[in-house]
Amino acid sequence: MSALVAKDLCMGYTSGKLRIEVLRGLSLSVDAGRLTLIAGPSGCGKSTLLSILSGLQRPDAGSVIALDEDLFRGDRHARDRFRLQHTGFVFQGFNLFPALTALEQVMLPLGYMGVDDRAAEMRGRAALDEVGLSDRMHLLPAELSGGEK
Amino acid sequence: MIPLARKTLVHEWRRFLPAMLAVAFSGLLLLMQAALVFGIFGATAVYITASDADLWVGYPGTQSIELGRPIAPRARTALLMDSGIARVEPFAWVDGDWRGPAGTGGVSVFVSGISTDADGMIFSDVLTPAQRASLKEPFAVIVDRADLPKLGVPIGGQALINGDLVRIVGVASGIRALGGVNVVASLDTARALDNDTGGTEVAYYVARLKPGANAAAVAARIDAHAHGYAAWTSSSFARRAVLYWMFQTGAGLGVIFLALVVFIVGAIITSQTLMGAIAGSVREYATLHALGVSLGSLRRVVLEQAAWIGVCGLIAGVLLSLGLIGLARLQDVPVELNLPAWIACAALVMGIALVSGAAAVRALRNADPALLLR
Repeated sequence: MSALVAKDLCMGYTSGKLRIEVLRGLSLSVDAGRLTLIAGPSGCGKSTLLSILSGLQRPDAGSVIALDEDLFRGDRHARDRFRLQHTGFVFQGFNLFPALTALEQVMLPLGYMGVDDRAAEMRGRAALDEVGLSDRMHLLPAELSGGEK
Repeated sequence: MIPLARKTLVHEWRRFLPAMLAVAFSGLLLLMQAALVFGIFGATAVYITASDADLWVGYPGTQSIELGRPIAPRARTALLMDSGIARVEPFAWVDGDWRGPAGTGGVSVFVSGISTDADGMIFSDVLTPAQRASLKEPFAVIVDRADLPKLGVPIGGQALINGDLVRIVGVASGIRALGGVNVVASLDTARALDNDTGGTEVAYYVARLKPGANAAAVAARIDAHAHGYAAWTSSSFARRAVLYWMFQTGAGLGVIFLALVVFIVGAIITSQTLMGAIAGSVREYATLHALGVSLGSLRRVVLEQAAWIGVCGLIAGVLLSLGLIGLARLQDVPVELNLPAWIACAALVMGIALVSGAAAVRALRNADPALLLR
C-alpha cells in the first residue's frame, strides 16, 4: 500500500521572459515504512517536488494523494491540518526558533495540535531522550552544535 | 502552549526595540499635541475651570467669556429666587488698554472684577484668601507671573488701565489668557475701569447650588423664564468656550490641522517600523506555517507581538510625556492633561500597532513556505 502517490505533476516557474518547466508529468509512489531518497543535480526540481508532496505548494497540474487524501482538492486549511497531523520537516537551514529551548521547539507544534502542556512536555522529553539529547533539552539553538540542531 | 510571541520578544528585544521606540515617540507626539491643544484652548475657559461656581449666567448666545456683554441686574434676582441656589456672585468683565512704562507700548488686557470675600467663587483655585483680600485696596490688581515681562511692570509697580492708575499687588499662576493678558481686580476696581457702562451692569453672575441640587435642571429652570440673559452649567459653558476657540477661530483650526498631520506621520512611521520588525521574523513564521500552523493562529502570534510592542512603547511614551508636561508647567507653557483625550491617543497608537501587525501578516500570506526547503 502506497502512503504517498503523485500523478502527472507539472510545475514551472517564470523568471523574466523565460519560462522554465521544472516538473513535466512526474508520477511517483512512496511506500510506508521505507526510506525513499530523491537525488538529482542542482536545480532539477527536488525542493519543488518535496514542497508539492508535502502540500506546501500547489502544482500547475497533477494530483497528490497522501494517506488516501487528495491534498489539492481541499482548501488551504485542510492542507494546513494535514501537515500539522502527518508531516515533519528537517530543513536545510534548521529554522529553529532562536528564543525557544530544544524541549520547547518540540512542544510547540504539539500545542497547536491541541495537546495540553503536561502531555506535550512528556512527549517532548521522550522524543529528545530517544535521540540522546536529554541533557541538551534546556539549551537554546545558539547553544547547540550543528548536529544537535 | 509555548508563548512563542512573548519569548521571541524577550529574546530578540534588540530587533523589536526600534519598533517600540517608534510607538513610544509617536505616542509622545500625539499625547503632547493633545496636552498642548487642551492647554492652549483650555486657557480660554480658565475663568470657568479655575472657579468653583456651579452655574454661569450671561448674555444669550455668548460663545466664550471674552465675548460677554453686560446683562440686566434682574438676572441676579432670578438666580436668588430659585430654590436650588445657595449663593450668587457678580463677575465683571472689562476690556482694557494697559499702558506701562515706555517701551512696552499698549497691551490689550481683560480685567476680571471678582468678589474679594475669602470664599469668592471666581478664581477660587488660583487665588489665596490673602491675595483676594489684597484686592480690596482700590485699584489693586493681580496678574499671571508669566505675563509680567509683557506688562513691563514688576510687583508693586504701577501702570494705566483705560486711563486710571492701577498697582500690581501680587502674581498668581495659571490665569494666562489666550488672546491677551488677564488682570484680576475687585468688582469695585473693575467697575471704575469700565468706561462703557460706567459699571452699572456686569457681564456675568455665577452661582453655587445647594447640596443635592442638579445643575442642569436649575440652569433649564432659569432659562425658561429668562429675558436678556441665559444660564449654563459651568462644564457646558467651559466646553462652549473651548469648542468656540478650537473650531471657530483660525488659530484653533491650525492647531487641529497640525494634530492631524502629527497623527498621520506617527501612524506611518510606527507601522513601517513595526512591519519591518515583523518581516524580520518571516522565516520563523513560514516555518510554523510549513509545520501546519494555520494563518489564523499565525496572525494571533503576530498580533500578540504587535500588542506587546504597542503596550511597552505606550508606557514609555506616557512616562516621557508626563516628564515633559512637568517641565512645561515649570516654564508656564500651557499644557493640560486631559484624561479622555489621552485615552483616545493611546487607543489610536494601539490601533496603529495592531493594524500594522495585521498588515505584516498579509505580507506573510504571500511569502512562499516552499522557500524554506531551498
